[in-house]
Amino acid sequence: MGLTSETATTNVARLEGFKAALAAQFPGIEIVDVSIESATDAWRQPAASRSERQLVEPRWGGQDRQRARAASKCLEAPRGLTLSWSEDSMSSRSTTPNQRGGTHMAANSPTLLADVIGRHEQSILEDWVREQLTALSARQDLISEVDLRRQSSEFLAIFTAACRDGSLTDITVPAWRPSLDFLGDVSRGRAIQGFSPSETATFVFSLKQPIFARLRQESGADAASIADELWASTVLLDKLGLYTTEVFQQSREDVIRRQQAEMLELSTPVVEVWEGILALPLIGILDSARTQVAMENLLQSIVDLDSTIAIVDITGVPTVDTPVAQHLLKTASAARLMGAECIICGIRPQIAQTMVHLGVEFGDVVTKATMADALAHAFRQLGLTVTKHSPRN
Amino acid sequence: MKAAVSVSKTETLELRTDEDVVHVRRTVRSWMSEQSFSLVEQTKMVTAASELARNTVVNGLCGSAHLERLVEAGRDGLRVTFDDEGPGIADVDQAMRDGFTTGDGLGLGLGGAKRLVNEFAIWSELGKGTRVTITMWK
Amino acid sequence: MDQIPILKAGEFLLVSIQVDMHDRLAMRLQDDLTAQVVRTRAKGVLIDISALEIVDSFIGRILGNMASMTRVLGAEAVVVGMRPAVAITIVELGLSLTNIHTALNVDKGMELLRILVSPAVDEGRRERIED
Repeated sequence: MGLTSETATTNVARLEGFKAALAAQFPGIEIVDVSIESATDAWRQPAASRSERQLVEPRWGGQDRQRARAASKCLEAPRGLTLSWSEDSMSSRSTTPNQRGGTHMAANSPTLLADVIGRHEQSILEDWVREQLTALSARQDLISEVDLRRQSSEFLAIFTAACRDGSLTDITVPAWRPSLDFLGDVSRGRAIQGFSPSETATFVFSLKQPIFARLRQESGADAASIADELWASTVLLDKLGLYTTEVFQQSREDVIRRQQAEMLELSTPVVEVWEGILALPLIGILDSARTQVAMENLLQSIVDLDSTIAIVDITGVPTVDTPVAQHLLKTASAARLMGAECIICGIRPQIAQTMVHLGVEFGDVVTKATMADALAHAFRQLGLTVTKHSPRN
Repeated sequence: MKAAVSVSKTETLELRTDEDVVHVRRTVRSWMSEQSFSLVEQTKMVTAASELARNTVVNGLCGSAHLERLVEAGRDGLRVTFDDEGPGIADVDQAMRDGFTTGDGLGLGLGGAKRLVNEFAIWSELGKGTRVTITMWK
Repeated sequence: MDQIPILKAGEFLLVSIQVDMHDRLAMRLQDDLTAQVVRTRAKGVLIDISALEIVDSFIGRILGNMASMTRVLGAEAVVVGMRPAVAITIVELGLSLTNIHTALNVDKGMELLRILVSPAVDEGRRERIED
C-alpha cells in the first residue's frame, strides 16, 4: 500500500490511541476488525465505506447503534483509518431489547425486512407485478401475466426467507443460494426468450418501489431508521439485480459460443470444385482443435476423392496467428507427402502483413490472393485450359 | 488438486530384438483401438512408441515396455513406459535435441517422440539406464 | 528371413510394402532395391506404401535413402499412397522427406514416372511438376 515503516508506525500508534480513547468513551463497544487503507483510498472511497458501515450498523439495537455510529465517526476523522465491523459481534448485540415500544421499528434489519414483507406479502406482490407489467408493457408477447405472477410470487417467498436467515449485505452466504438459483433460472430463461438485459433485471429492480412503500408505511416517526432500512434494501436489491444481469450475460455468451461452434461445423465441408480439385473454405475464428480437425478432413478427402490439388480458402478467417499459420503449413507439407498440392488463397492484405511480421515462411507452398487465381493455377497444373467461345443465343 | 489416476489394465513386453519393436507397435495399436482413440492419435502414439522401443533395443542390452490403461476424472488414457539397462544418457537435453539431423541412421528420435504425445517424461543415469514414459489421453 | 518382393514392370521396378517392417527387413529392402536397379537397368522405381500404418524416423530414413540411391543410380523414384495419418505424423516428427517425388496412388505414380523418365517431348509438363 505504499506505507513506509515510518507511516505505518505512526498509523498503528494512532490506531492504538484511538482504540484506547474509544474504549474509555464508549464502554462496552468491542472492535473486532480493523482494516487500514491508504489515505488516498479512504479519500477516494468514502461512500463505499460509509454504506458498508450503514449496512452493518442497523443491526445494532437502538442506543448501541447510535453509539457505534458516533464511535466510527470519531475513529474515521483522522485520515487513513476506516473501520469495518465484523457481523458476528453485531449479531450478539442484536438481542438488546428495544427501549421504546409501540410502532418504533426494531433495528434488527434482517428480520425487519422479512417481517415487513411477510406481513404485506400479498399487497407487495400485487404492486410488484403491476410495476413489472408497466415496465414490460411491450413484451406481453414473451411472457403472460399468469406466468409473471407465478414467478414473482415464488421469488418473493424465497426472498423473504433469505432475508430472514441471511445477511443483507453478503449474498454469497448459503442462505441466499435458493434466491440466486431462482434468479439464475429466470435470467437464463429470459435470455433465451429474447428479453433485453434491462428487461430481465427489471424483475428484481421493480421490487424496490413496493418494498420501499411498505417500509415507509411501517417506519412511522423514525426517519433516521427508515433511511437505513431503505439503503440496506436498495443495496441488497441492487446486488441481486446485478446478479441477474451477470447470469443473463453469461447465457448470451453461451448461446453465441454454441452458434459459433455450429457455424464452424458447417464451415468446414470439403467441396470438389473440379475433378481432382478440392476446395476447403474456412470460416470464422479458428482455434487449434478446430483447425486440426478441418485439416485432417481435408487430407482424408484428398485420398477419398483422388484429388491432386486442394485449395484452402481463408477469406472468411478474420485473423491468422502463428499457430493457425503453422497448421496450414503442416497440412500443406502432409498433402505433398501424400502426392497432392495445397494452395492457400483468400489472403487479405492485413493477413499478409501479419504473416510477414510473424515471420511465417510459406516456403514452396503456393499462395494466392483469390480463389479465382488459385483455380487458374490448379487448372494449369492439371494441364487444363479454359477457352472462351462466343456465347450461344 | 490432481484427480486420482487409476490403472485398469497393464502388460509388460520384453524388448530385445527387432521383432519385439514390431510387437510393441502392434500391441499399442490394438490397445488404442480398443479405447477408441482416433486414427491420427493412434498413429502418433504408435510411432512414438516405435521410436522409443527401437532406442531400447539398439542402445541398451535389454529392456521392457510397460503398458498401462489409465482412467482419470472421466477421461481415458494410455501410458507406455520404456525401461532399459543401457549405459544411460549423459546429456538428456542434448539427446532431446539430437535426431535425424545428426545424419546417422540411429538418431535418438526423442525430440520427435515428445512432439507426438500428450505427456513425455525421461529419467536417465549414467551406468544405470534410461526410462522414458509417454502418455496419450483421449 | 523374409523379404519384400520387388516386381519388374517394363523399365520400372515396383515395390509394394505390405507388412509392418522390422528394421532388419527394411535395411534388407534398401540393399535389394539398389542391387535390382543396377541389375535390371531400371529407369524408374515406384514404392507403394499404401499399406504402411506407421512410418517412424527409421523407416522414413530408409524410404528417403531408397529414393536418393535410386536417383544416384540414374533412375527416378516415386513414393505413392502415403496415408493421411502417416503424413501428419511425419510432419509432426520433423522428418525431412522433401526431396522425394510423391503421388496419390499407383496409377498416378506410374503416370508421374513416365513423365519423369520421358525425353524432352513432354518438357512442359515435366517443368510444371519439377517446380
